[in-house]
Amino acid sequence: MKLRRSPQTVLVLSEFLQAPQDWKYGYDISRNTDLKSGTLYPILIRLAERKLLETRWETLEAGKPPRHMYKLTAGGLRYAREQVPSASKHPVGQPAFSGVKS
Amino acid sequence: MTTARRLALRILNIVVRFASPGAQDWAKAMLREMDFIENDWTALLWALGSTRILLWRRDAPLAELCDVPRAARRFQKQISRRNLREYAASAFVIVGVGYYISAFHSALIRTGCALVIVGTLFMVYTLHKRGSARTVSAEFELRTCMDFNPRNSSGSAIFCAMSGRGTYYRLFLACLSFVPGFWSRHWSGQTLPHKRALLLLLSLL
Repeated sequence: MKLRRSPQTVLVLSEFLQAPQDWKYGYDISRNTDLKSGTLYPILIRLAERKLLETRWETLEAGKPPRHMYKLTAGGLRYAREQVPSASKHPVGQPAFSGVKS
Repeated sequence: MTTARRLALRILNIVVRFASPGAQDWAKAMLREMDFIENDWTALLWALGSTRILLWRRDAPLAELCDVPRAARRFQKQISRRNLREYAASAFVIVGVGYYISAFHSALIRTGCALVIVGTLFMVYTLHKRGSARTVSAEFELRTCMDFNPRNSSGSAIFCAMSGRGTYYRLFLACLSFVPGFWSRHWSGQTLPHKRALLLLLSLL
């Protein structure tokens, strides 16, 4: 199933590409991308439904409710690299043309 | 806690409560993020944005067959609540129509009201007999997931309860039992003017 390529989705994907291996929190993504919760979460839900986003609950402190975290899956990473314009898609330390066939 | 944050929390709790099963986790995730939003007005905006989740109608995803008993339990609770509402509504109808029996002296109206009560009782009986929630047996829960087959007895019982196959047809027949009562009551035409609204309400029920 195709995901609609909206500027907001690209923003979210590029935020994930900043540190692809790190788990991210909803509010942090919202702050960094300037997206409202009503825009951000439907995008996250769509990404998760298409298995592009991995989710998990993390307990930070004992006795406190866990927090939801997100990370791109391998497929999601591939998809993000296809969708996000080249300026922001290559994390530091990764060759810029690694995915390009000669 | 400021009013804005209290309101934000209230909104998010409502969203968590009314979100569809598939979106519940996401609503809870948004609620959890509230603790990390310092500004109260930002928190309120966050909560207002979360209401969009209510528009998402998603069934709870079943990751594996082992989730089926849990989903069945949830469904059982849902059906029990629905039936409770139906029983309460039926009791209301019976009391209301019973009052009509005492208020009117026409034999035809009384017969009509009695028929409505009989129809209601028949519908309640049908609902109880055919549409009541079935308990998920312990044996079903203990059984290995690989054993599961909707054609098995307990499996089919649950799926039958879930789909309500055959129940709607019988409920339709039960609803038909109201017709003679309403018809005879209408035909007699002896309604007290100030009670017409109540009669209309009862008829709609």
